[in-house]
Amino acid sequence: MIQKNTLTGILLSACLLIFGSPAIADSHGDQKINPWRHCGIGAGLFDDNGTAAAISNIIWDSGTTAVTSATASPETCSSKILETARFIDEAYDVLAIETAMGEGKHLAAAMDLVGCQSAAQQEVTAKLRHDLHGLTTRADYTTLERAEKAYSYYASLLSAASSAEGCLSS
Amino acid sequence: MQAVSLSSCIRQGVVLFLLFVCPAVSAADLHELSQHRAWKALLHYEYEGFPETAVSAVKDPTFFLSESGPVDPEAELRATIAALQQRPVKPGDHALCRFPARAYWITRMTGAAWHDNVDCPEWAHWWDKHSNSSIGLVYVSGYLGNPASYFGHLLIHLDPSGKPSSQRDVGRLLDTSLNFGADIPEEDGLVKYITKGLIGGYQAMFSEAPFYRNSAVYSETEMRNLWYYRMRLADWERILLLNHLWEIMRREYDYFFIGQNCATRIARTLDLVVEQPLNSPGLPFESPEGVIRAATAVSKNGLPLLEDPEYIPSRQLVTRARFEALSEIQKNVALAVWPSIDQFQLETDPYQSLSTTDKIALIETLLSHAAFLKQTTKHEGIAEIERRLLAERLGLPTADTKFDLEPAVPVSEATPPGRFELSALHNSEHGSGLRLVLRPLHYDLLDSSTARQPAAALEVGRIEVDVGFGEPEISRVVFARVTNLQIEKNPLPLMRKYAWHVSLEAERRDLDCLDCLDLRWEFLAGKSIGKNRYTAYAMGGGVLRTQQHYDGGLALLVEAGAIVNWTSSQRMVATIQHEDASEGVDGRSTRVRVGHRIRLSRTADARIGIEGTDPGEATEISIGLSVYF
Repeated sequence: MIQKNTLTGILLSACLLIFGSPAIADSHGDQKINPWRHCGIGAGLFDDNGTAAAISNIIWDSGTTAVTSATASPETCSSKILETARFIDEAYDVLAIETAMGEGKHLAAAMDLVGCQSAAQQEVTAKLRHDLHGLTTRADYTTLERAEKAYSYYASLLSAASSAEGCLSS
Repeated sequence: MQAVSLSSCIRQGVVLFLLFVCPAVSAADLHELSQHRAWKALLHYEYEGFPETAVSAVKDPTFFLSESGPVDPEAELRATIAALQQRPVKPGDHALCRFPARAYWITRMTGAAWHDNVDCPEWAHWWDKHSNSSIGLVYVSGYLGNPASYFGHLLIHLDPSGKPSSQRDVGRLLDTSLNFGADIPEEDGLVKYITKGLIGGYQAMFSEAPFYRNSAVYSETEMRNLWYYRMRLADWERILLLNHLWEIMRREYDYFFIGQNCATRIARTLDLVVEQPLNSPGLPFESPEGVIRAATAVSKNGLPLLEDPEYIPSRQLVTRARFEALSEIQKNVALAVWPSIDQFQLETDPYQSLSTTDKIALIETLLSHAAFLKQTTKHEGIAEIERRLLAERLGLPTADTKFDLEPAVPVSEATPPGRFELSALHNSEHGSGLRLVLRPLHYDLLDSSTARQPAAALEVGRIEVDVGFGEPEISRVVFARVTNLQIEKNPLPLMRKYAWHVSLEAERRDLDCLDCLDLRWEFLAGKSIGKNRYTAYAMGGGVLRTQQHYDGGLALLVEAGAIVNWTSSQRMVATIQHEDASEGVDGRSTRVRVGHRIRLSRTADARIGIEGTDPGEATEISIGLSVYF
């Protein structure tokens, strides 16, 4: 089981690498933000010394979203980053269901937050479904903290939006 | 905004522009303006005491620029004009930043102009987001899980797109809700919460949040239905109200559950742009649905103030509709896949043999049900079942699955809560007479609906008076009566919820006597089942009672009942109740009631009732007409 989980984790990390960086480039430059760690969402779950942070780094960051706290500050947590992250954090359960279904008001709102026009939404949804499928086929999915699942979704959404034609983030 | 010339100003008798230019203008005109309905609405004046005195409901002293502002609209008007004329010093401090609606209204009324170089960063942020926003109301149906939510809730809704629902590409989740709620310390228990809610002690304020947060709480967690009503306002009214909402955000008000609640405050806020009162003058209780009903009756420029409502059903109703949309084969497979809350098996042959299209509709229904269970139960296995369903659905292609929601009557079109009934009554012991029934609030098992709470009763202050048997006699007083059968007609596995009932009322010992009231406090819990148009329940508990006509102050109480919805306009409720205090014959009693309601219109019905107590004692039959208000 441990080997299987590790392998799945590596595969998922590889997926994130292939999809590209999921971080938002904000007005201050190309600093990459984990809103749960740097903007106060998640209540310390992703603190640098926390166990959950270590786990999440292994599972989700893998170098693709790693940010040193020296480069992140409250100013880099732009309102758009916070709005997107908060929405995913609070609506994750419904978002996951609607992503699985491929439609729904929460999914449409997520697309709106990253500025994806209708032409791009099918492509972004396909990528979100692919990433979420990888996550939910892990037997330990249910043991993950909510913030970890939400951050994973956030990363996947940003990655998909950044590579799709017709999204503001691309 | 109107640009008013001096000459036109004189012609129109407008006051304040003249005040700036011709200081000798009559103070009487300024007084007249300060008595304007809109100015008092801007200051949230209410009338208290005898003789009535105007006092602002806002308790935050920084809301006033004059020391006597909370009680003196003219002093506040003078102080506001003086502050608006001052040169700005620090960004955000100027009166124009703090009171943009007052400034806008004074300008509109007088043509007065203010400094144009005032820096208001916080207001500018608000205005940048909401300058195009349309304004609406969201009614949240009642929730019997919390006494403060029994009568529903009301929110102000701001839609930054400004577009009607039919032109919205995405839903309303990213819109803004303004919620008026009391600030309740976490350590306050239920008793303290109810006590302070009723007699005072809490402060309340408007706060701003994205609508998805309210949608999550109400639709996904508490399984309440929402209706969004967009308001038709002239553009100047919309601008005035948006600016006023900025002025009152996070200002403190006193909170009273009965008469200073969300409905009161929102109704009084809308007084600014709606001339007809949206509250219930003279009535001690303000209810959210009362405000919606009052607003529904308002017209502006020949059109109703409220547009047709947009329905946002709860997760529970969505799941039920999805299940009903499945074929019989799919329903059977769904029950085979998930036969009980602990058993879940996707590997069964019936499921695997379904077509991909059939699998998709089935899995989506089960996913919706898992979301419902996740919010309403604490069963540990649900998370794993949800994971497996997510993984299964993600392994299937996307598809557009269709299902029709059960029609729901919006509260604006539902039967009003007040009921007056006049019945012809025949008592087998005393002969014939009349019965008058007055129920101020809210619904009973015969007239409950999805607009409020199906298969439930919530009655407050019902009184029945019999005439024609000598002196008029009070035959029953219901101080409060709450019944929640918690019916779930979806056959998928559930963590069954208890049906429950609590009431405090005065009732006759039996039907043989005319003046034999005893006070009773009933408390019951049990189970209910519902299928198609039938509902049945059985509950057990106790009754604490006075002993004027009973032996034994505490008795065991059991009740069984059935509800049949014969048609959409006819319903029958039959109950049998037995209580026994183990004190012999005088300590026990049995009562049977059958009631039938025929809905005649939104505001009228006919009711037939049959009631009997112990065998060999009197029975009563009544036939009556009710009007609702």
